[in-house]
Amino acid sequence: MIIELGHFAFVLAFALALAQTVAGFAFWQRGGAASHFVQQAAIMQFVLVGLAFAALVQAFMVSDFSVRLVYEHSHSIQPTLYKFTSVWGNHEGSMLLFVLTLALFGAGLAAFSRNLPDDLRTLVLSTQGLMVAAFSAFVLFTSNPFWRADPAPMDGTELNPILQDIGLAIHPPLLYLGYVGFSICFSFAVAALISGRIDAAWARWVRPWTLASWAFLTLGIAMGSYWAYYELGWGGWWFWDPVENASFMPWLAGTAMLHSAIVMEKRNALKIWTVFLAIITFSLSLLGTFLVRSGILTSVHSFASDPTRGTVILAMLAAFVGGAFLLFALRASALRSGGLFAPISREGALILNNLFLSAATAGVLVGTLYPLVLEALTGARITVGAPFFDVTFGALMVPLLLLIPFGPFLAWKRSDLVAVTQRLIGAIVATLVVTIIVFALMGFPVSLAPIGLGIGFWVMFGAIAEIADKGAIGRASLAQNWSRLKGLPRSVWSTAIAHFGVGVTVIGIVCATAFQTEIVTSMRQGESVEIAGYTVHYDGERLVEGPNYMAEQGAFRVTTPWNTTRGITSERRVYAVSRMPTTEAGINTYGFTQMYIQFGERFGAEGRVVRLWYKPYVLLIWLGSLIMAGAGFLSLTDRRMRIGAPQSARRKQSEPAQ
Amino acid sequence: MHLLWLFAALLTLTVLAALYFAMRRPVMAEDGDAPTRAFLRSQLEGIEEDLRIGRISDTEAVAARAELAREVMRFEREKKHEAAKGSVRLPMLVALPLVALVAFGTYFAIGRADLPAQPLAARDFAADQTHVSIAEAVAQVEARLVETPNDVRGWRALAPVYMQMGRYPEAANAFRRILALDPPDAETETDLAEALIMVNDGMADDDVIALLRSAADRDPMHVRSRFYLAGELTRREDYDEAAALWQYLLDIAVGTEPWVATARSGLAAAQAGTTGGSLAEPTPDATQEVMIRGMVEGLAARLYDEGGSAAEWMQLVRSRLVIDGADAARDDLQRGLAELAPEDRIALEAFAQELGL
Repeated sequence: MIIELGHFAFVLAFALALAQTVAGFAFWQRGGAASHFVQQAAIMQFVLVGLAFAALVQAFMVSDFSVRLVYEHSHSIQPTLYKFTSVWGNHEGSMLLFVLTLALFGAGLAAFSRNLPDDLRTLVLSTQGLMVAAFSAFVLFTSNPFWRADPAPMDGTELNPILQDIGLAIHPPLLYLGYVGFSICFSFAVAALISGRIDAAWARWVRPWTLASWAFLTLGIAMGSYWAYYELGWGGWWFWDPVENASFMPWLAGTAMLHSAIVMEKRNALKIWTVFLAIITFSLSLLGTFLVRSGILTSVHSFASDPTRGTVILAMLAAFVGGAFLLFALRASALRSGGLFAPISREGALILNNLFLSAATAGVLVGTLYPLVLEALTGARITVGAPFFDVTFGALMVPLLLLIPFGPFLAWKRSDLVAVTQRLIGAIVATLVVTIIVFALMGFPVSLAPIGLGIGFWVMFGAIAEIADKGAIGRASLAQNWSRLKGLPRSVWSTAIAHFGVGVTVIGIVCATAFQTEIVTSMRQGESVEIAGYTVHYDGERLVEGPNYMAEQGAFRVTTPWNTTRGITSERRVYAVSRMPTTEAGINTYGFTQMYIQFGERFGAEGRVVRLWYKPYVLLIWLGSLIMAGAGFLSLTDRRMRIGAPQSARRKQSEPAQ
Repeated sequence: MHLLWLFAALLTLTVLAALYFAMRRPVMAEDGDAPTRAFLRSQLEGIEEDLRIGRISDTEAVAARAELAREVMRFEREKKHEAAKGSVRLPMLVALPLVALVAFGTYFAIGRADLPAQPLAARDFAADQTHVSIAEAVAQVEARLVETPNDVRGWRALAPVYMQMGRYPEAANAFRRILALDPPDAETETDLAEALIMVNDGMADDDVIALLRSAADRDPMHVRSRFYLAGELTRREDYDEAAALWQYLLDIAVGTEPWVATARSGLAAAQAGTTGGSLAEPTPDATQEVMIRGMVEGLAARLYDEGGSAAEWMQLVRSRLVIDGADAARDDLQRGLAELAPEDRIALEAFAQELGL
């Protein structure tokens, strides 16, 4: 009964979303009862979808194969964690998670929006309700996770073995929190266009939602990348795969929006552009959903998809994006333009940032869609590979990265580039010194790597310089430094920390790309291989039995240049039910550096093909992303995000002293 | 299932009540412009803070304050928030029953209120067994496969049952489907070869030999295919290759496998053939026995190593009973009962009772 009750709860949520949408759009100017209704409906919706989701989780946990989805994507001998994650390791379940996240953000807005004007809140929630209704309908009528099987099969087919990993518990929920979180920004944009109210206050109100979504998306992408890195066994961490691009494009656009919203909030400028970005960002999220779910792309994300669903998603994409742009075209011209500023100014720097990020988004979009469009028009099948993206994206990122440290130093309205450069002199000198040292340690090779590292150091030192400058370090006593640093708003800290994280990631990327060593060899038991000063000794293989797989496990010992030795195992698994093989890379971590071993096919009678990678500082890539996301969350705690909240007594006391 | 409707109704009532009371919440004499005022005030505080931490200079602060003042003035001028225009409670009240109507209507159309939950632990497979005979179960799976002929799991379930029921042509067909649907592997190819041999009354034609060779090539450790191949080659008097195969089997054996003795006698027979010795001219009976034994030992080796379905264990126990007697069969039976999942165990136990074990 729980399953059917869950199904009913979901249907009820759908009906409620319809009512919320209609009531909200009809009576948004009336306030009062309509406003309360819409708020309550948004919260109840989340509760109901949550119930439905819980019912589905329950069905998976007890292996109820009378639910078709459980039969198709789970098996009674699967470990408990994977029974749980199987819930969203498939199309239907993950669409339910998608709707749950939509409802979560709606409920969040309803609950934490006392500082919003009634009419704006009602419009945002109505738009959000419309999306919940549309996606619920899609789930209910084309991809219903509650569809039953009668008679119930004896046992299930198994979850795709590649997905049987802790990564499935982390990556999709985080990614959805980011991806779908931008729906709130989209709803804010639509609400702004309908009500005609687009001003600095709007930017402030939408900022926490943008920040939270952006931080979650950063985490989601980083975790997805790390998961692909260790699970797929190709040793790479980013493949410019269309599915990766699908998540990266909203991130780029979202990053641009994060920055343009600052200009809007502070200076009442870039308003039309910011609203445009809000629409674009979520549109790209929807585009990603369409690309991944329509079956146009084949990847580990596509599951069993059929073209009908793809068409429905495409229609929804067209309706939402088209509708929003139509509204945009009708209303944008009526908006009042904002404050004026000189090209050399904080605003100018943020516009440059936006130009580069949007151009990068466009580049990735073209590279992702071009093969699809070409195939649709001419039937020719081509792939746009890493070289295109590396060149296009790299060329756009280098100037952006070079500019990052300048931004926070520039004054609003008009600024003096020479003076700013003087304040950055410490960072410039430090970058040059460190880069030259690295260059010398490498023996002055003919390579771009030192320049890449230099750029990474520049971004990091620039961020440190900003904090040092704000804290008047070197210009005042230590006590004064300390009190100034303590007094810095969290938004200043988070800006610097996030930019520092960008630098860390850049260094990780450069090191892992330029200095990695790869060896493909065949090894027999007892043989050793040297890689980058490390000795890898092959101890032999054995058969290992997992809960639902058999594995050929290769055992290795890695001796470091400083003579410590640690074991490492790498497996080739065959899963019992699906008979599908997977590889489990063996990874040893030394500081930020990793030794990565992939145990390959048999070679001759006793040998094995073994692929080894030495990846120096590769962990910095994800560490930098974690720092960026952490900075996003830190920024959320900034006092100014909570306007309307009473100020702390301590601060009130300190004011007369000034 | 009345309980479901009761809970569904309760859930709906709770939600509607929550909405109703939310609407009745008194509309405070809210100032619709308060949020904007709060924002403007915080902007002013932001300027003061920037000034304090030295992010902007005094002159910039003055300019920023002036700009903010202009914003405030414009806001006061353009202010268009008025008090709520009349109550909308009535149309909203109408919405409540509509929500219930849409929910129940939609659920009625797509829900399966008649189906109870069937968690695995609560399912009574023993009862299922008594209700459904094997023939019925096969018929059900067959019916399903007519609709979804590409469901490889169905074919995998059916094939060994066909073998056990002696429906060899159907078994061969099922194994062929499995090979077509899934990447071919040594096991299935050998299964197909086995089925084809049974279709041909124990004779292996060239197709079967080709299949066995392919299976052996695919997996250097595959025993069963080599067993068949070696037996068949011995029968065809292709002694050189047969001897090499028997030798290979003995080489990859640890020595404790139950089929080692058979392989030794096979090797002896093949070697005798090679030297042309009349000493041990393999009689047809002898090779036949080698073959049958090879089949059984191959099956045993696989089941002991990798486990298998109830049907396969039944096949092994029955064959063992015929060849080696009740004690050996009982050993296999114990092992099978230990390996099988509870729901399959019942079938094997019932089968053993039928055989009198």
